[in-house]
Amino acid sequence: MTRTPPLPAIRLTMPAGLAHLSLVRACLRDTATFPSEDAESRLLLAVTEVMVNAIEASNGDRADQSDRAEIVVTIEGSPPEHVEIRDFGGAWTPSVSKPGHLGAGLVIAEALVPLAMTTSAEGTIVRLGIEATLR
Amino acid sequence: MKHEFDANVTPVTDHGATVVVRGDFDAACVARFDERVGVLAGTQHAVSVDLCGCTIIDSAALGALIRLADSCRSTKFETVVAKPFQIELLRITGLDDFLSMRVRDD
Repeated sequence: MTRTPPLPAIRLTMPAGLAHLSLVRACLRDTATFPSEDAESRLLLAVTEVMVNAIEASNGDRADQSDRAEIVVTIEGSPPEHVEIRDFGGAWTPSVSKPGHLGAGLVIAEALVPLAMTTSAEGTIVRLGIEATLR
Repeated sequence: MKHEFDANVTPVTDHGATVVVRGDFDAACVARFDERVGVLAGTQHAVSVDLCGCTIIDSAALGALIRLADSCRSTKFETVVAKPFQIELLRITGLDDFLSMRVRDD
């Protein structure tokens, strides 16, 4: 009996811009089977919040300057088990209030999906465990 | 497309105005939302924002809703939600009262 080898992870490297949020969601919608529309919304909302944080961290105090920085999104497992979002914007610090910024992105993401964050001088990696949501 | 963002504002009447939002309402769509609802700034009529067709509402979108509610402070403002994730989102952020959340039974 031959065993099907696990599919390699999907790794998306993209400019750190808001225009690419929908691209990552489309990739997840295409590769995952969601048990319900509500589960889909919860998971994709958590991914969106973490991505927006990564985009802001990448661009610092500047506006959305997607030509200057990159983020990397990795979807592991088949069906997907983890989504990892990596930025290169230096060590993460709790966000300072900005005009028009609710500052609740990570709180929302954590409430919806289990996540682990690693931060260093190079940047931040957030790993979201999505397997339980897809069950 | 089901996930494509859209926001439609009904013409303001004596009964007020309704904003119907659909699809993925995220940080990338906030400028478009602000532009569409700009006509309601300072209105004296009731404003209802129907979010039931939203498949995502992120924190930047919530910020846009807060700004709209602020600009309609002199009148009745409400947000209408239906999906469990929408209700939970407004509750965990503590915005259910501020945005006068009303749950519609579908």
